[in-house]
Amino acid sequence: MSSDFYKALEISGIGIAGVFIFMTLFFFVIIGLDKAFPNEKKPKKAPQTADENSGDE
Amino acid sequence: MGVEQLFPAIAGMTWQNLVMIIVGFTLIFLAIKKQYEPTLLLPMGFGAILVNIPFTAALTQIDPATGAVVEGALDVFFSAGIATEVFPLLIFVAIGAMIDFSPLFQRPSLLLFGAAAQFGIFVTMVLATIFGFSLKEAASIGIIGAADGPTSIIVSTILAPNLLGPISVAAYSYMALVPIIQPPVVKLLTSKHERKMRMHTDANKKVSRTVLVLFPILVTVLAGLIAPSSLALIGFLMFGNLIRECGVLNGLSKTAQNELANLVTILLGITIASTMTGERFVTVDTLKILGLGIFAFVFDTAGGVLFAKAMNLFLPDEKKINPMIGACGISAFPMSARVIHGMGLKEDPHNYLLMPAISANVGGQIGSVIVGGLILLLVPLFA
Repeated sequence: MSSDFYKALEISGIGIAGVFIFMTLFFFVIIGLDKAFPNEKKPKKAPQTADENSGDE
Repeated sequence: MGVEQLFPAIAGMTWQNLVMIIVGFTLIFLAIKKQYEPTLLLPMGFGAILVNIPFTAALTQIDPATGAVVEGALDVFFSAGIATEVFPLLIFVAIGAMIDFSPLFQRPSLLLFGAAAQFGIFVTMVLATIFGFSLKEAASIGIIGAADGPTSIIVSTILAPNLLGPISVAAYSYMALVPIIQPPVVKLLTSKHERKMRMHTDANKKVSRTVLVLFPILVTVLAGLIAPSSLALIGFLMFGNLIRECGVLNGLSKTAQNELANLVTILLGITIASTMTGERFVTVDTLKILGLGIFAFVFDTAGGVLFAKAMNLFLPDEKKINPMIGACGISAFPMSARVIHGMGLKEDPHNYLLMPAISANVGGQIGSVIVGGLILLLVPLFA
């Protein structure tokens, strides 16, 4: 086997580990953002809809 | 006066040129008749014909009378747009403006399939070195498995510009063939019971605008701090996404998604064709690259499916993942998600896998760009 083969193996090991590390980091970014800025529209929407409905009536 | 003087193009035609003109017709046929990635394959097909007519003015030629160099338009485009990476990066802005990351927030763990389904890239890179390619060439061939045209173009432009033509053709052709390549691999690796598995996702979950604005910025900063070489790729993708999500640049967002994407795609396709000349393209290496490209797609799909099966060993019953979703970790968006959703419906007409499939597929778009950046970082260190 050529030296490139062994280098490619080494790069593959680091590369696969690297992409998993990145994606895990992004996973925590998503979790963190979701916790820090939860969607606030849901609870607000319900009373607004009720008001609008009563106004229409 | 002989034929050579009267009709130099006819006299100068080689069998390699003829083969490439047939390849050009085939790409145009696939684009129009089969609608396989027509936006890229049609310009590439036409370009292949254009550059294989001997003495074509589309390429730089030496005037036989004066000996002066006459620059061809396609070579000018290549120097300005491909060699500088400008065209593929502009495509990333357009793609970023098209991506909606909110499905990732419904089940963030599916993001990991965007990593698992890059497995084929690395396996193919190792295999390519056995086939005699240099490390840089092998890495560029492996990246075909990213199922991400612009990433393939950028990596091969930097690491192996001599292989740009066949790598681009393989990347875009196989992306179009995802509905043909993925189902048999998925079926081979999953049981009927597994393919029928249903998944619970909160499809009604809304994501706040603040989150969607902050996500591309944070991802760019994180990626840049860890692997600065990935910044051009991930940065332009996320810039496009920020334009989309900020809510105050709707005009720019629409322009990026439509006019910019269309204009750059036209230029990108026909410019790549400038590398598809007979003497450069009709080689045994091209056949090897086309074969290795399929191999990369197959192993990407297998990597995603097998990772899902491994994850299921540790997940509680209500959170188990349909292993087919793993196949969506490739970047071919939304084609891969649609294919897997269709396969799920075939097994069980009430099994709707589209949302988790889209989530994994969006993860694949991020994953492919990250792998591109990692390869650009790692390969020069080892080569």
